Amino acid sequence: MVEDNKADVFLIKEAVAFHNLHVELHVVEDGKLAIDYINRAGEDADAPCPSLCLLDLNMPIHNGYEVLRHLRENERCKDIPVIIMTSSESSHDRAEMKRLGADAYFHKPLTYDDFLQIGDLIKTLLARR
Amino acid sequence: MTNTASRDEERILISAPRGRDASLIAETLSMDGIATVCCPDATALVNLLEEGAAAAIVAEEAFSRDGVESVARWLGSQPPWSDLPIVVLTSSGRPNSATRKKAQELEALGNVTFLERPARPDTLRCSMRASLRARMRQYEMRRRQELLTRLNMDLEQFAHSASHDLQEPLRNVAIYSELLTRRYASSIDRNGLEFLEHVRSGALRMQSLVHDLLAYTQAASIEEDISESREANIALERALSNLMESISQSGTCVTSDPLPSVRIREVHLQQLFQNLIGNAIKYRRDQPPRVHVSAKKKDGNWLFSVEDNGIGIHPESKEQIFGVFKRLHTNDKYAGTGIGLAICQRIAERYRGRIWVESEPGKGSTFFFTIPA
Repeated sequence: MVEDNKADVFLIKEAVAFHNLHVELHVVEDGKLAIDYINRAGEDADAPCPSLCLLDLNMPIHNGYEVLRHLRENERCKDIPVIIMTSSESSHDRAEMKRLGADAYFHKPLTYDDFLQIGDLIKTLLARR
Repeated sequence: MTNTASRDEERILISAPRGRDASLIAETLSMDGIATVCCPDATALVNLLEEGAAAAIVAEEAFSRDGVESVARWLGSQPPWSDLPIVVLTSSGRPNSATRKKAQELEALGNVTFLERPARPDTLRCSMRASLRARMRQYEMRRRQELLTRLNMDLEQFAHSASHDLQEPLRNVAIYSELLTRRYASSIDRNGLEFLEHVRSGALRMQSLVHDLLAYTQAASIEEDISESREANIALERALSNLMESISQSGTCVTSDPLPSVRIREVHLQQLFQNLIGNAIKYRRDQPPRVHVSAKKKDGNWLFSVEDNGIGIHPESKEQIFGVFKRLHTNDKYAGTGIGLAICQRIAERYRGRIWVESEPGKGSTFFFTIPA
């Protein structure tokens, strides 16, 4: 999970628990750390690629677009499913994300119950693999 | 000369292939420090115009009819700020039917002045100086237009990122106050729960204000100059399709006269209809809303009207309602942020039109707006 808002990290953990998903969450707080993580995961045989990436677009240092591009260029990790998370609707973002190869788009909602739905989305994408 | 124009854009082009006209003119103008370039035919002239020029001097006999047409075509495709001055050198002597016919042909060149030969040097210099002054003003207008466009883009980008950045903390406030209510209800007394509800609804309301503010800045952010016409009926259909749910829920009946083609982007006309009809539905009386849309030609514009049988508007409030976030009723009675009419006004103004309302409380309202034909 590439997310710098701790409040949202907590909510995503709640969503994962609510849907009984047995996953290990690694959180990085900015785009640069995300790119470092991807590089490491790619190179080292003992550090496997994540099964899925939750990517917030609005990240400091390197934004979500750059992280996604980096991910898709990485030999080992280029095919992992990616869910883009955003705070505001933008048709431009949506088109750009699709172009760069995101698998799903989650517009962070204003209510708790709606937020839990991201757990469903994660479940679906993990099941596809 | 100001620095808004390139060197090419300050030169004068001369198309006077007969005799020594061209070289004499060039010499005369060089006394005022004016740069000139000679072009033997219409094709050469158009090529040089493409690169940039302040004005052109064209001898009456320089081009064939086709030549004049090709230059006229180029001149017709100039951007709105540009209106290249052309000075046509006519033959001396009394006009006859041939010269009159030629003059008519040459008028197609637009911003044309006629100068009879032999032209006195002073007259020529004076005339070209005047043309140059006008052209410099045009370049200044171009510069301002570009500045304005850039400023508007900056504003839109600012509003976009501000709105985006504001949504995240707002979301947190809304969701976590909801979580507090849900999980700690047993440890919070009734007052506390009410406080939390105020926190939550405040955040939700601010969220829709931020969202609508963004919509406002994005609604026709630059002055629009449309050359193609669009069918207003299509924009109306799209608006009604978006309002389908509230139309059927309220039993609204929307009728319209045949609507014309207008020079406005479809999405903007659609927004106008959608906001006005949406309001007509929202601010209804006890009876099912009835809305009628019509248009008539007036003073070179199309005057649209959207008439409803709703609650009406007090004469004192008729201008206030177009303000950003200005509302006449509380949120309990009629939900909304009050941005709809502000957006309508912004759109109308971007097309150099107007929007206003005629209404009486309890008797419905008619909103009027004008769009260029």
